[in-house]
Amino acid sequence: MKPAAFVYERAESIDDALARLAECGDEVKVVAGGQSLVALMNMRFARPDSLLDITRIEGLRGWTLAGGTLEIGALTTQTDLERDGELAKHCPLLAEAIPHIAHVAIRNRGTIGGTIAHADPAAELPIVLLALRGSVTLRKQGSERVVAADDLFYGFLMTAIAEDELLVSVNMPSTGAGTGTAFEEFARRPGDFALVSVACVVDHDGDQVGPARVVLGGVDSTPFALDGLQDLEGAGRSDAVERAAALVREQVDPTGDIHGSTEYRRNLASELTRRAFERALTR
Amino acid sequence: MEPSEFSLSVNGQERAVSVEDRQLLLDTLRDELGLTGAHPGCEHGVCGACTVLLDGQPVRSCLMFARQAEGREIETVESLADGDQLSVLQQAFVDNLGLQCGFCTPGMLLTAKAFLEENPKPSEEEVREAISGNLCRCTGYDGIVTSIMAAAEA
Amino acid sequence: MSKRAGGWVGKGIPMREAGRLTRGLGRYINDLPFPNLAHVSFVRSSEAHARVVRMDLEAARAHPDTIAVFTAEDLESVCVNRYWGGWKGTSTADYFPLVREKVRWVGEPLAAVVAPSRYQAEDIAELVEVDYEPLDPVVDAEKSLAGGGDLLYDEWGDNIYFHDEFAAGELDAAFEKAAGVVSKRLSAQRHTGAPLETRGIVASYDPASEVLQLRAPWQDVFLARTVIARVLDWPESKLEVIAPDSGGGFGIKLPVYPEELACTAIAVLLGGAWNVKWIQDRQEDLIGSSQHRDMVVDAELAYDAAGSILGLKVKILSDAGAYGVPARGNTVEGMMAAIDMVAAGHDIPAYGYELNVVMTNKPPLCVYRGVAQPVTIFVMDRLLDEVAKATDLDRVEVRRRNLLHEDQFPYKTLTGGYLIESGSYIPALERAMEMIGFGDFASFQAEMREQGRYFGLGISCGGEALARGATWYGVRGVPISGQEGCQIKIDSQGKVHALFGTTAIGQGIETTLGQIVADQLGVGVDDVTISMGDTSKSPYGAGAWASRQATLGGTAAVMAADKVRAKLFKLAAHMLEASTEDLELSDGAVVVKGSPSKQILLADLAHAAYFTASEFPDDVLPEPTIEETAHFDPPSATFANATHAAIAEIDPNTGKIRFERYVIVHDCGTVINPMIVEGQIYGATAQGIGGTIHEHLVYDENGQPLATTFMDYLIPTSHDIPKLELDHIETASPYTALGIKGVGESGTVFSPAVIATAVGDALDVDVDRLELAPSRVYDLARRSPIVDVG
Repeated sequence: MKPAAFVYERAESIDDALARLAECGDEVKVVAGGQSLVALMNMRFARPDSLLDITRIEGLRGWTLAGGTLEIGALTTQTDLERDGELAKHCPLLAEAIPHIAHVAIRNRGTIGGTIAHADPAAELPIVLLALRGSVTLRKQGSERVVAADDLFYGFLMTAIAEDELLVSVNMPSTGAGTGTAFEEFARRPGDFALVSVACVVDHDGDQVGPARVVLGGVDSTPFALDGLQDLEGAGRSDAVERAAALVREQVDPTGDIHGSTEYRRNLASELTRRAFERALTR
Repeated sequence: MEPSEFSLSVNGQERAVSVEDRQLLLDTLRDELGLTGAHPGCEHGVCGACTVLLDGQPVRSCLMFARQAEGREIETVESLADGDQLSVLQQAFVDNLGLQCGFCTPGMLLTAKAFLEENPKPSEEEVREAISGNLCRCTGYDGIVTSIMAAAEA
Repeated sequence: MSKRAGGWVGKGIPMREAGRLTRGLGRYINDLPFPNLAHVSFVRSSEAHARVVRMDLEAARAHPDTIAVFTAEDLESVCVNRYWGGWKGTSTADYFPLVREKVRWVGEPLAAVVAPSRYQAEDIAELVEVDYEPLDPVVDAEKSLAGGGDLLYDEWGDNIYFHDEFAAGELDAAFEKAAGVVSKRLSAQRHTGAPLETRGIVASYDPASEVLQLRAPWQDVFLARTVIARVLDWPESKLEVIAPDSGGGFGIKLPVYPEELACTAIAVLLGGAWNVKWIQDRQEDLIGSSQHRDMVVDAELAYDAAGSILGLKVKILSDAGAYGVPARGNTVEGMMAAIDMVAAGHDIPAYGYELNVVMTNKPPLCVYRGVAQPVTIFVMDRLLDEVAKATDLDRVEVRRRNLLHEDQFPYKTLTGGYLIESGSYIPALERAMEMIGFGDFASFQAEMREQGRYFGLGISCGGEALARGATWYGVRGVPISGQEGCQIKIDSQGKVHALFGTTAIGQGIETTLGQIVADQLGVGVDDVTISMGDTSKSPYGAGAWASRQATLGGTAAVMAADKVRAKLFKLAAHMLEASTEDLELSDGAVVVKGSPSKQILLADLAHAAYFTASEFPDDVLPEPTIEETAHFDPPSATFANATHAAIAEIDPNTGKIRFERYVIVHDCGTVINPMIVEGQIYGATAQGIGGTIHEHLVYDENGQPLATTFMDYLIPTSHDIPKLELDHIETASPYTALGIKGVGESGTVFSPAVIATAVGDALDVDVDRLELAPSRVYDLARRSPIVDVG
């Protein structure tokens, strides 16, 4: 289990990286923490010609809050996020999801940009991003664009990020009073990829449910945003919870594998949604 | 592929290496520098037997290329003892059967070392969480948890 | 044979190798430095069942990094014999080191590429192209038994590797007069040991001496030597097999596998120019190390009105994979299930079995911690729970009525020629029930059910055969010895060196054997050097399996020490002008009892023996060295016993099993080192939990393995193993020195059934398969009459 040969390159600055991507983005694979990529390379499922290490680029680590939006540098590690008590106040959903990501040693290397760009449908942060209706900032030589999470994930490990683009920040709205969030996950063992994970964002006044967003991981080839939640607006708490769980049962059609059948995963998705929605309404 | 020449800072020493770009940090430590304490248990980042400290934080050396570690401080299990004098943590593993075959032990020790530096008085449950990314096939973990708790109390 | 002064036996001292292992000074096979290393990577079959039409090696041979590429034909001049050595009555299905003509499981090695690094070897192996003519794969044991699919071995006419039938006692009468009969189809899933260190070998050939030196973490270096010597048709004296530190064995490293034979042959073919190294990667382990259990048992048990067993009939179907593993074959799991079903501490007056070991297009079964006993114990516990239901007795009372009582020892079993020598079957059960609070559980369970929470109490109890002697393998035609050897040398400076035939696989055996030798020779445990695992130095032995090293190695040590002591006393009696009966060994000296000032140091005795032999008459010093060897082969086996009991909560919506409490009362005979004993029980229990809840080697209908990484093959983490509450009972074995019985496997044997019976109790459902992943538990909850799942 050894990787195929490749050329290692290191970008010293964003411009450096963008120039290299502009030159031959089709041959170059960007690596940050590499916690998913290197495992795939060791198994030779991924075999890039060149690896572009961006971890030495200054200024892509840490976050700022402007206009109610958290702008988190792509190279911020999952451990950075986990330990940041201030961040947790602005985005409790993110804080709740992070400890579910693998284990400490992986979170020490894994970055927020990397996990979003890798777009594993069973990973935690893509569903958080989608649930919060966040976005990513992509830069290429001479231009920059912001892509909404809703437009980002379009296939298994596939995103709207072009070959010559670099993800520089992940943007999430901070959630405040009136919005409850909760994250639920079930994995075979804690730290494994989720069989099903659920991120819930619900506006509510303590009695009645307002606009809500439920995104599930592990049930489709991309993070799966539940439809039809607008019908729940105005519903009472327990009614809304049951209806959200029922919507999941109607809409989710996960592929079975050795860890669980379609039926099992569908019910799990529904049950975890029930739990997450219920908890979100207490916050 | 031609090897690249660079140096790594390992256990406080600058060590020159000459390896292919694709060479994993794990293989570089073991085969080029003779530091065989980090072990390949799965080579895909699950088992934790290859754990080393990178700038003080535990990482999988099988999920990093040696080139990526240039300019960083690497610590391996070989740095824990002071000559023949075991560290408190190592001694706790010896005294409490924190190991059997010893294959997971270097990764376990380094994970525990970094953990205790941040959380010197942990609960048993926090210890279990801290080592949950390091698989042990021999002990059933009890001896390991006991050892780490004992080191924390020492 | 009794305990001696010194008091090392019984002490929980740390493992002697622990210090160096914590410093990264383990010396595992992959750590050993060699000059001129050549690395091997194997080209492996992508098909489960196919003829190999063509293999194109041209590009691989032309690659600039290639040292050599080998196929089966290339190895023939060295591997001259097809060797299996399996059980009497089995068909011929032996492995070749590389495939000839037909592949029979996905991942089977077809060709070996040799290059200066593993990276390069893998590059080159990718260049080999293989064309297959597909055959219908046989993945399911029932299909195999029925002759469906293409035969694995055309010349057999069917897929049955081994068939056996047996009956003893008044079986028909038992069923005729029975108050009732319970029938169950019970089964176990396929899993594997997955030691954290994978397999590996470095083969070195010296063309001058024509000696092959093989280093590999084999659990039985002498068996490896025998197997390889027979394949090569060499005398065993030309092979030196050395086991370095082992990163875990659990049975997985007992066999000699095709890869190891291939590397051995390659080392010879390369003429000694290279030290040939192969380190198995994790995928290779999960698709190609030995696999385990995968068995279906149709059982019928006849009982009387009091709930006592009258007779038992079983039909066992063992899904044994595609080949016979050299020596052990792939019969052992099925055969042990058949034999040991009635050797688990229950009084069973009549028994019959029908055993079919069938071939399938999967890797072979061999032995993994506990071998078949996790299945046989599960069968007995499940049947007894059914008897309890049918008779309205409680589950503990049914067990009490059927486990062996104090006055029944030694108990002769109907199979296997075993005498269950002693045990604490009932006391262990009673103690465990007291600890877990069996009497109070029902009301707690009912109360929790009211709240929509589902708790179950699982019970598993009985015994296990350990330290099997020649009666297990040897008399069945298998060249695996039941003996264990020890040589004790007092060197010319009076230092003690004990060499053993067994092998260390990371359990602390050097420490426990050191404790025994220290006590026997009246020295400190740190004054004893222990060596093992090297065929060129160690006395003959049979290695690490069946929880036997301390039991049999320890007995051999006591026997060798008796000889050493006799020799020392004769010499000392002469020098001290005392009678041998008045002497004892203490603090590194021979001392006259009651006159501690009259003593002679071992160092002085050694000097006298080695350098001044001319000063002593022949009857005082018959030979001028102090080196004695003893070997011990036990009469049949020793029998340890245990009760496991657990309270678990089941989440019917996720299928998660959470242990509330887990209690073990066990009896492994004399405890040499309580810390190491507890470590063995913990670790083995963790593996039983893993093999039941987490670990599952799944194959699809084409025989493609679906769990090939640690992301799919899930060994338990620190979150998955509960805190165990342990209690010990020590009932000595009369067959072995010091009363030792053995402890390595106990935890694995009883934990699967305790989980199954706990889940069954929690959900009020029949749990008839040892496969309790969350999705399976979820399915069981759907069948539960008490769970409302909406």
